[in-house]
Amino acid sequence: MESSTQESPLNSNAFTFDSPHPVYAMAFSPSTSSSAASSPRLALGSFIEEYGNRVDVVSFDEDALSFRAEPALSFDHPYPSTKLMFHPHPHSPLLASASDCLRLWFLGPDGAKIRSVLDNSKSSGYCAPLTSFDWNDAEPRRIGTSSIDTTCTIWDVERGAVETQLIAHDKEVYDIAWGEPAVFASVSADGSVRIFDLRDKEHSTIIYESPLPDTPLLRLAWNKANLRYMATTMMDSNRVVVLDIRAPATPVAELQRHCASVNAIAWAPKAARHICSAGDDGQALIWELPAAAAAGTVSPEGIDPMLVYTAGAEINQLQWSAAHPDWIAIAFANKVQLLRV
Amino acid sequence: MAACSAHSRPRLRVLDSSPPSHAHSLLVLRPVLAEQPTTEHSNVDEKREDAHCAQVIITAGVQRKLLSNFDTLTLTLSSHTLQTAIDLLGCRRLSLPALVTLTELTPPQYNFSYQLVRSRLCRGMEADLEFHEELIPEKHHLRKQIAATVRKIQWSYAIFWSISTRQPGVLAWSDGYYNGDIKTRKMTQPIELKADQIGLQRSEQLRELYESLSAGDSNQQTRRPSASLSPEDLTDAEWYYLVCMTFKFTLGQGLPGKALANDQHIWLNNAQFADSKIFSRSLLAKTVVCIPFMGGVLELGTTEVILEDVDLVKQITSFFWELSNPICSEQSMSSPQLAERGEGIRCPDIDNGIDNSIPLEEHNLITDHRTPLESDPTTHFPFPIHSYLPTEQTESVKVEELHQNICEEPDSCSPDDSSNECCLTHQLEDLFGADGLNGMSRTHSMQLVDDEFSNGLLHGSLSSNEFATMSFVNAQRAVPSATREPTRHQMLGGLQEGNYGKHISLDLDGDDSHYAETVATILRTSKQVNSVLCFLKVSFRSSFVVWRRGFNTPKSFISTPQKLLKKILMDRAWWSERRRREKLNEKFLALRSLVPTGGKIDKASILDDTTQYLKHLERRVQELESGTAVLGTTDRRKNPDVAERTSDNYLGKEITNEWKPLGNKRKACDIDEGEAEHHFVLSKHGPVHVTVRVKEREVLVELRCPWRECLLLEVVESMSNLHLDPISVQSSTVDGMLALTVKSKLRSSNVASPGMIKRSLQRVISKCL
Repeated sequence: MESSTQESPLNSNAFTFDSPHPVYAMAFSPSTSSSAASSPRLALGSFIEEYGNRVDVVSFDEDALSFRAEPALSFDHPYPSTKLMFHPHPHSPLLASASDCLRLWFLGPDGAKIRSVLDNSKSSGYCAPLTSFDWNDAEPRRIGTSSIDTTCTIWDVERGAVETQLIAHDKEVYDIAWGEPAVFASVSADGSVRIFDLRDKEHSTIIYESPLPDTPLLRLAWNKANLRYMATTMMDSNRVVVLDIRAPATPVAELQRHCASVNAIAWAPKAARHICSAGDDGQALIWELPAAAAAGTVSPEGIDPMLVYTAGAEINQLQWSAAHPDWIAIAFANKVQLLRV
Repeated sequence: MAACSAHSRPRLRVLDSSPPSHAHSLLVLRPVLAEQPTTEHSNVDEKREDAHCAQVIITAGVQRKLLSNFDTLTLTLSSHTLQTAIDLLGCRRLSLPALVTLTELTPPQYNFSYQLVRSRLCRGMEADLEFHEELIPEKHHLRKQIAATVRKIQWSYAIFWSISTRQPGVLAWSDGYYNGDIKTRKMTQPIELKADQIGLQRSEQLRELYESLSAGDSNQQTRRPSASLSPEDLTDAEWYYLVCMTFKFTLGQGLPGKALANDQHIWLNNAQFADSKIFSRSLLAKTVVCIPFMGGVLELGTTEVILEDVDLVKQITSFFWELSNPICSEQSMSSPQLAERGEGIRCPDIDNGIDNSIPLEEHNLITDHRTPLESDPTTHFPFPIHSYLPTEQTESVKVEELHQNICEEPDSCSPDDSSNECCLTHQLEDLFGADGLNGMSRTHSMQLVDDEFSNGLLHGSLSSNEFATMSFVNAQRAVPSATREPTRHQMLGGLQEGNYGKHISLDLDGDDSHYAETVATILRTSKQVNSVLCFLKVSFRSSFVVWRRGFNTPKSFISTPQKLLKKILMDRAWWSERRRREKLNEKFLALRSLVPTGGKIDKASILDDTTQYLKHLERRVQELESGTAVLGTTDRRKNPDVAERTSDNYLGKEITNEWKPLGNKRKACDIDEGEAEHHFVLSKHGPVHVTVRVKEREVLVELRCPWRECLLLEVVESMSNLHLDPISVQSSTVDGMLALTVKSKLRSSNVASPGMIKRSLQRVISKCL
């Protein structure tokens, strides 16, 4: 295949996969028990500005330190996928993708097959593109999608039916993240972070609004190790805003050491205070948030990151493997790199 | 001596050059800033102030690799095994690493950490057990002595560290007495015991628990076989005490090791704030005193802050001696180690007694570095010595000198060091402020400073990110070279730069295999451990480097910020265009299904066919409408569809009807439809347009047709017959074509339909054509 592992000139510990296409969407498999004894595995979604796109599955062999493409599990995908996610349970063969609608793919021994197409736009005849989705790891029946039509849709993926659809924001919804089985948050072009509880669909809580009115919030990450914290990024901003949901309105920290806009954020899967961010400056930064009690003592200049990786091109995507927390994957141009933490 | 005076920055000194033990604790907790717990721990709030978040650090006998990659290691640990490792040290029970809450640990982690605790305890035991056994005859008596001592001064605990027989030169747990709070009292017999008996029993139980945990490591089945206590029963202080059992110190290392090496007691105040370099177990006890005697070290600790009191130390010693006659054997046992100690210690005059215990070099340094600061000894110290309360004046002369020596550093530091100095000073100022000790720390015992230097190197270097950044960037770079010497030197260089100065004698003799072995030993018990193991391994080769301000800051690589992200989220031109085209194709196909085509499916052909077909239909409509009278029912029969559609149009309130008229109706009557169509188009009289618009009671008629005499009059007349009252009439004739616009009002409610009006007008027009 096109796969080639090479050591980056910048860093001998970054492992590069050259994809034939530009890559945007990326997902780590939660599986730790694949045949190659817990090797990190990635699904990569191409970004080609037309209908025909690809999703490729590659594994990384930690002994040989090389990538291995799994062509049998790769498949054609309509439009670029805006997000990919494996089923939260390690042994499930399902992979979800979002583009014009939500699709579930079955990655079986015979290759990848489409399992279901979840599209609630049949009535309108026009499908509002999905900007993102999140698979509820505590309640894997649930996937929440966010759409430019200002709504979030909660799917029951087992029934393949809409559980509920909420008009979540005043403008396009750009990202969505689950906190609890019935609680999710979303960010939007209207500049707000809102939390929804499916048990009370009438209300939502705005926990943050971007300082300049209507500065779109693009990405959202909820800290799975400590649900108090979530992080969001703004359009054309080098800042990562860290929020404490118990103290709405005021961020607990604003991480602003990127030299250009931030494109992606990911919390450390198992540590409560570490987050990685990546941006147009080609850097992936790992931050340690100050302990809560010390939060007030943060120097006015703000928090410095602990570690940095320099990719040499703008980084569009970032994923931190939950199954292998020592690996972070970044995507830039048509390259995917695995970084050791 | 000259060499020493050349050291302009002799902050700290290592008095002992003995190789660090590889067997000593692998994991050390270093309390740093507090984080509030979110748990349901009831006592959490009480401990709020004391709550320390623990940073787990691997020291592993000062493995060079670890050292040189230390920045990375901290991170990986904290991101992955922080909770685990904290839990592992039992510190969850201490509730100080409050950042980790039990609820956040998943069951596997829990289990994992348990096993790690046990494996660690077990390791600690290896050296201890045999030692323990050998002391059995004296054990009971020793404990009683310890108990009596600690109870007398009412401190929380006492530990006697003595030289391990198996590992000469290593101080290990010999015995101890726990005198602190007890959470759960498990009585094996329901007998009322005296306080001292309770204490002894408790201490014994704690030891049993420790042993059972350790034993459980090698035998899962007999885990906790006989311990009358379970880990859940322990107070924080007891956990601390228990964890202490796992520690070992080489001579000069750690507080006990230092005390023994210098043969001088050390009084550490505010131990919980102490840099772990000084006191690695600084978790709970606020005051710790280490008194070297009987070839070992007696460590006493209390949760109270107690200022140094030499009398108390003397008192303890003498009190102990009074009781200790039967322990001669132990003394003799440990004497070989004492002899051996001399070799390991760099300062030759260590045996000269307390007064001379500071090496000569140091005196030199002191004298060489008198500065203005000397006159103002209350100035801030440039490194974290804040935690020591003044030592006695008796020993303070040299200490003060040393101190000045330290104080002057900010002045004498080289330029390239200034940043370090600044950040450290800054940090210290904070610490000073927090401690409120201010000038009090002007005297201190320098031995403390070097306590546990090996751990301290790590901890110290981590004490602030800036520091770690500066001192380890070089070191890390050196790692890939895999050359031991350069690595060591660079690392040392980094460390020295980083203010830990004179660790010249630091022995970094550990090698990789030993490291791997150690880790493997530690982690051998659990499957999950594998991940940690490889986790540790890979951390040597981290992709990341320590961030530093201004370090190689690239600007944006692209002119449009967030280009791809925006394309994904908002700039969907490509997307909507694609969808638009797709929709278009669908519509074309729908159209094609309605229009008879010549079999061509390209869009142009479909459009052509549709145009032709539409024209045809329009003509048919016109023909049917205008020619009903003439054509009779023939057309209707032939083209029912068209007729119906046409009539549909009249239902609307606003109606526009245009058509191209027939040219010769007689011909049209005679010929078939195809021909009629032809003739309509070729009509020599030109086109006829009649438009009738009805808006409420107003009717607008627009008409275009070939002019003839009286046509205008007839038109108005026919309108009048339909109860239309012309309001305004505009007409013009160009090239034999009449263009007429008539605005009229309906006279009655008997509304003529637009169709009727139109037909009537068409009749008028065609009458004499």
